[in-house]
Amino acid sequence: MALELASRIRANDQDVPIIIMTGYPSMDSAIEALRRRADDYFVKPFNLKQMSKAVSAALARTASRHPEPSTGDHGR
Amino acid sequence: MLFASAVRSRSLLVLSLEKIDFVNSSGLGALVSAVKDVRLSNGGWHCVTCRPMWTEIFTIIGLKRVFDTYATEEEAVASFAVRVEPARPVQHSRSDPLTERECAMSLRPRLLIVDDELLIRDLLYDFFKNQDYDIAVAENGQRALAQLETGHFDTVIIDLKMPDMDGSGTGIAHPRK
Repeated sequence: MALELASRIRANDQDVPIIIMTGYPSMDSAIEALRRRADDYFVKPFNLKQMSKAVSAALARTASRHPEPSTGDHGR
Repeated sequence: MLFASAVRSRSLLVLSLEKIDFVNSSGLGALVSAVKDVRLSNGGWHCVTCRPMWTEIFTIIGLKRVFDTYATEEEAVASFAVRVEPARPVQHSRSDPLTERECAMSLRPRLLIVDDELLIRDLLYDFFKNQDYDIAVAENGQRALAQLETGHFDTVIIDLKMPDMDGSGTGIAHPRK
């Protein structure tokens, strides 16, 4: 099942954000997705803007966990 | 309605599972996004629930502060009305300025979309391509794993039900190499 794919991905890359989408939502699968450290859970049909926001938020979380070292030069 | 306005105001009110529309994108996915967005960008948030079960969900997604549990919706709503804070603007869309990380990397984020439905793959591909993402698609778990072995992705979007992931365990149950 796809949640196993999520676990497998997690085993290889602890940080990559994972977003689950499903046409068959259930509370059990939603909680199981979160337990497997999925970052989000979308029910089809979903709003593309909402999905875009989720991806942006996931990228921001990754960035906050791995901040780029400051060069002290911001183009000035 | 209350849920939607709570999300818009960057605060959070959870009345009960039944009050959240589970058949569209305002469901749990939106709820989880809202919680994480608020936690990340706002620093201050409110959660008022009349269902203790949400405490478990919030704990799973890393939200430690669940304010109160109420016996009835009316009590929760009354409390929320007092507690709600003014909204703060949160930027998300790709039309917004690039994040610091994106500026630093000067690279487009890479997404992997995994779904056996061609329609969904194409839909997401076109949508994110137009937002300056690099996109790869896979129609099953095996191909997704193969792509993940050979390249880096910033986010992976996975369909919960795919033929090769159900029952037989083909692909996913076997060691990678």
